[in-house]
Amino acid sequence: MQCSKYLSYLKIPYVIIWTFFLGVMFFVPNVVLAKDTLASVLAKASQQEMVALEYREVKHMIFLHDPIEVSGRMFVAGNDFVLEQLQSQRMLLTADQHRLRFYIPSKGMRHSKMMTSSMVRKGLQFFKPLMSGDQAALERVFEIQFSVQPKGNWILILTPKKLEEAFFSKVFIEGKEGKPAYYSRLEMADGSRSEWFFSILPVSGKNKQIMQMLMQESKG
Amino acid sequence: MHLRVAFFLLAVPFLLAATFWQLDVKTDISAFFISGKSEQMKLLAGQMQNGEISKRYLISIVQEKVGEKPLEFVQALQTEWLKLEGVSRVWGSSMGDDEMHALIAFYLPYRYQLYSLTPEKDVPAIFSNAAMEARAKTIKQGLLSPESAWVREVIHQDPMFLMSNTFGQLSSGISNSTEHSRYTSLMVESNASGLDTDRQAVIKKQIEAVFQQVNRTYGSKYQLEMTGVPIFALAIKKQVEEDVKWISSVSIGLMLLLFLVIFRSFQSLVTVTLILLVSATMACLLTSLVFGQIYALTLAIGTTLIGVCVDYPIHTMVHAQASTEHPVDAAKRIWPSLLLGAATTMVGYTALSFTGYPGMQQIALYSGIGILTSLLISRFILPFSIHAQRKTLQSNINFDAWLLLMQGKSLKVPVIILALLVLWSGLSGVRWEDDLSQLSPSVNALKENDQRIRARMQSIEPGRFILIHADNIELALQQNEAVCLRLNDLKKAGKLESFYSLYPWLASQKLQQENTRLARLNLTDIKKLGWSVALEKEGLRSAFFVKPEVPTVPTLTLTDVLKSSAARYISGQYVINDKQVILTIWLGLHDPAALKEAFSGVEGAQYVSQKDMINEMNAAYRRKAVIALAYGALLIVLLLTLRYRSFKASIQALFPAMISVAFVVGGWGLSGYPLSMLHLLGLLLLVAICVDYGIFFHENRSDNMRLTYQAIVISALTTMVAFSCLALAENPALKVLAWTIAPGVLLGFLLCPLLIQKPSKG
Repeated sequence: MQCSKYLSYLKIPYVIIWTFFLGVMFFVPNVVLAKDTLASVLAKASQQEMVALEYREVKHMIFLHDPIEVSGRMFVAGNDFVLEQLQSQRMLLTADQHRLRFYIPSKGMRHSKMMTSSMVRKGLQFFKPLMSGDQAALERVFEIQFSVQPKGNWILILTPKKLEEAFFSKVFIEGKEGKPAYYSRLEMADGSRSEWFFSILPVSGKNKQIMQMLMQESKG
Repeated sequence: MHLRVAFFLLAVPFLLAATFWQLDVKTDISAFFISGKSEQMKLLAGQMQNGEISKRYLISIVQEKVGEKPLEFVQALQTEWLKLEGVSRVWGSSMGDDEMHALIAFYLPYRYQLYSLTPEKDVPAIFSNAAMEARAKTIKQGLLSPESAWVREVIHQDPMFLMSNTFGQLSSGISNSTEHSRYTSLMVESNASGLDTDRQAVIKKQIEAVFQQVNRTYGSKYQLEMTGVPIFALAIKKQVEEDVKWISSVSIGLMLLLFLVIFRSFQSLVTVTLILLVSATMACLLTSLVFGQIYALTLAIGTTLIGVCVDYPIHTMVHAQASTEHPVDAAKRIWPSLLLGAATTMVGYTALSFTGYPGMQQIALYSGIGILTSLLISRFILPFSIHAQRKTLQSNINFDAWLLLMQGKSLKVPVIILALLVLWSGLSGVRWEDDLSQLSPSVNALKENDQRIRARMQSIEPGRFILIHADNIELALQQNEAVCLRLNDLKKAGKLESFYSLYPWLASQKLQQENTRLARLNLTDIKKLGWSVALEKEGLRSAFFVKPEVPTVPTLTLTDVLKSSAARYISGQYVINDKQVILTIWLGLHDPAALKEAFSGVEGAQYVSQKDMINEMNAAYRRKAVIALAYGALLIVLLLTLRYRSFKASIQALFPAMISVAFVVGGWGLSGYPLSMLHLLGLLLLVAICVDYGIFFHENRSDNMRLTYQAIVISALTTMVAFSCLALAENPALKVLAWTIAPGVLLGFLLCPLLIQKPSKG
């Protein structure tokens, strides 16, 4: 059976792109208020120094009878991004200005890709506008629905304009007014979906230290 | 100035110009040694000259310590190297994303056709309950992996995920180096032959310059290490060039000194040099006209003829200057000896042309023309230029001291006994070395570097491969598949690390059809149901999977593969012409003896070791050469016997050469140094020179033994100086010539008075 080798070749995890996106989106809910518009949200988002959070992801895949649940923590600071999946299997996913790195300690599996590689570029073209706070660019790739509900909840719905090039068909992000997002849902074209539940961690020196440590671990 | 001399001097520039215009020098050494009569030999010669592997630089980027690979640096290098004019391809040790996805997309429809080399065993096994359960488990793992998007995409077309089998086989032929290392491997393929040193020198320089430039922008953190055929070719060329510069400087200096001391005339040196130049030029021109081109090695070996060609003008000059006769009369007097000497030399070289060595025919012609030209100039032009220079010959040096010392002493028998003793003692140590690489300059540092770099990458052993030949591509592919099965067995037995064949990139129509037929036969409704059960058992929703079917697609052809991104992985592994198809399977590290044994007697396939093959060819050439030279010797004896009408006289004239050869061969044997074709060439040259001395001494045409011997001594001195200088070379080939000819010539002229008892006149 050559599957493991096959999979080891397909080392650009698409989930990286989702999580990258989610990491970026966490700048947004921190600052959302009823009076905010998307433009002001994006502007403020790009000024955030660091975000640390815990997450729980529930994967509903059409091929699987039962949903799969994983959990861990995530850190975003500037160009650096760290996702540490702790359950069910420890896995590290990190990115900096130059590289994406993927590391499964139990398997000793380590791989890295340049940010300029075609696969990464393809994925990031959707999220760069978010990261840079470039609303015009964001609107070029997404249909955007941003609303603050009467109850105080805010909802951001992004629909890629070119579905055939996107890894998902729709993204929902939801949070309470003045509070960070607590929920996100990524929908796939084949009917699969992934739900994310978040809780923000305080930005502290310790978290910054952990982030650096995890970043280093992924580099080996 | 005599009209003949004036005409000669006027003709020289035209001759040089014509030669320069006509000359087509072929620098490829393999063409000199390999006659391309069979298709296999043509392929072998082609691979040595223009094979893809010979064009490649194997590159290792070294970083200070083990760590992440410098991807950005490597990418920048690749981009810049690709811009170089002489570089056709640059690739790393792992597959790029786009390339990988293109390969998967291309081969997905052919997953059943290419599934196995042994479909009767493997295809039914796909549909066993255990195998289907294991496959379902793998699919689940894939869906839960970070690559789930890809897995989903593939299983939409390939619900049983059979592509993983095909891809596994394909990727086994592509190096996938570890992520963390001190070394990053790259291949740079040039668009020039690896042996084309002129072009490769430029390409190598550019590769290094680009590396330095990019490295500087990354803080000069990395080092560049390179190996490959071009690196060796350039190193050898450099060594030879340095040898030539050094030897020619010393040689010219010593020759100048010799001529100034003996002839007390710079003009004498110029005269002899001019005769040698014209002889060599004439030989070049006519050889080139007859063969259409001339091998560089012919020129190199041909220049050693200086030792023979120099005899005729020196003898003429010595006799003309020292005797009281008119130089033209003196030349006339010694002419029969010179003619006989030249004839015996040409017989020797002609005999060598019957060895079958492609280059030897050229050398025979080249030598014949060179000797004849020198002889004719010495007889018909040189004497007319000497008149004004008469009496410049040094008279105070006693060249004949040895002659006088040996006069009247009967040492013939002791010398012969001594020679036989040396020969007998040495013969047991004589062994033949047919490995041409022994003629290469010492490049041990490069060899170590080569091994070090190759150990860092999944590498193909250069010069060893499996050759498959058949009447058409289908038969060749079938044969290829049979060979792959044998190679798989050898891999399991630990005799072979890896191999690279056209399969799995392409299979024969027969194999593809058989794989498909068996897949259709085995993929029954019951098995499809079994597959659904296996999926459900793993918690997978079988209803969302497309039903497994064997797609109806035409069989994959070579043309299809060549149009795809897979083409580069099989380039250089096939030769198709009207008569036959030849496929090659490249081999990784292996046990040559095991592979040789495994493929001995297999029809249509053979294990080829270029080195062994060439060595075997050389051994055959060498055996033929020994026989041809023996016939040549007999012919020389016959010629001399006819000339002297006495067998005894002919043997007497040959004695110095024979005894000299006995000492030299015995000496080589005692030294333990293996003998090669080059030694035979050296011995032939030695015989040619010493037979001349024997003839001149025996005939003593001037009736002045002192003068005759003086001419022999001067001639021998120039030859020894020229060949002794070769001993300074690093190149073993040149050293062999030096250590064969210089001591042999010394013995040859010393033995003349001992072995040829002639009354000393004058």
